[in-house]
Amino acid sequence: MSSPLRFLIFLVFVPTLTGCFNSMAPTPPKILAPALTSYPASDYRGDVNSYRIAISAKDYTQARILRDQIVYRTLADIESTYGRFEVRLTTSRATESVLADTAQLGITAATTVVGASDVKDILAASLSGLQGTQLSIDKNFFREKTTESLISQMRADRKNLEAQIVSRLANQDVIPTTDPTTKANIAAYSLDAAWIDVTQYYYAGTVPSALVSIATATGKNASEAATTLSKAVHALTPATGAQAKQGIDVSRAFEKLSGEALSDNTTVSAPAIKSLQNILKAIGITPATSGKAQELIDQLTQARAAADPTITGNQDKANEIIKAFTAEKLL
Amino acid sequence: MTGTIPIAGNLDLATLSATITQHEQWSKVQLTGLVADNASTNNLATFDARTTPIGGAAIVPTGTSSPGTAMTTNATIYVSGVKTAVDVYHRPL
Repeated sequence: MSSPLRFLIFLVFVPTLTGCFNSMAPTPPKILAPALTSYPASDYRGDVNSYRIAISAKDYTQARILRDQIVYRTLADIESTYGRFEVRLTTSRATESVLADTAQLGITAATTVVGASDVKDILAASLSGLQGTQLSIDKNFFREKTTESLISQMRADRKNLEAQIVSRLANQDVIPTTDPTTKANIAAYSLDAAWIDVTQYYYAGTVPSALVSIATATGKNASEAATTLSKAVHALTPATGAQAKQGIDVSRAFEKLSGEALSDNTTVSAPAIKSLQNILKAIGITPATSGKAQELIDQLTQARAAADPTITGNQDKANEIIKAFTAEKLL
Repeated sequence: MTGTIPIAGNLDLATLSATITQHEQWSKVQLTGLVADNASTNNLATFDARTTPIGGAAIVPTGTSSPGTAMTTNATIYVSGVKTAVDVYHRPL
């Protein structure tokens, strides 16, 4: 046997030898053995028949006992198989990944040691195919969701449905009744109605159901986020035509002042810089100590944005700026 | 403030124009989009930062001439609570 092949076989068997695959769950106790918890179809048919007879005989107390018994036995059966399914799902996905990784490592190693270029090409193509297949399984069967997220979603969905079933069994009879205290009508929860919930409970513990729940939750979260964002951003406060004109006048004066402050001609820039500093002081902002025109312009630009009446909801800060511009004879 | 901001859908054309102008001038931004928000019967205005001065905004019914540069034409928004097709202009400085 060639050395690359021996290496490949070694890599494949290493995980098995270390016992990874058998360490996912302890051996279940005998009382949890499937044979003891399973609900044989013959027992089920007999119980359903007894339930129908009790309903026909108007023996609703007996019918309710039978309904509860059928539902709880079915839930126990589903629960028993679900636990094993979780372990199997985790183990099988992990096993697939380990085997795929092992095979890839083996092929990569073999590619480096074989001499013939044709064999190298074949091995490279095999490697690409293997990687593609693994990605495809992950994408198409599991939509690239982790095993943990799938199990977490299945458990949440099953718990919700279980709570709903248990609550209905406890509070609703097999026929419509009236609450003795509130006189409110209580709907019937017949075996057939319970069976619909039990069926949903079973399917809640499947991968396709978990994928749909995750997608639905993601859509719901996105919708809630949009609503939250809409609430967080307040609508612009309406302005009058006169207020808008004032805004334009201040902008025009500010643009003119900024142009002058940035002028190379100090005869023009010096008084403009002085005005910028005065305006900033008048509205309670300490002018930049550098005295540079651009820094003062940036300070006032920020102050104007912070005073925007459509955002603040009032004219107070805007009026302070208008007053300061007026004092500098710019308006 | 840049980004998308709601504007009440019950405003008339003059108030809507004044509100957008006010925001553009004080926050040094420019309207780049205006649409009706069907979920809330408000309008949604999108603003981007600007570096050059602009004139006041004028929102007029579609087809009505206005001085200035057309920013958006035939936009359907809520005006006084009613869906209306409008053109948005920026008046000359």
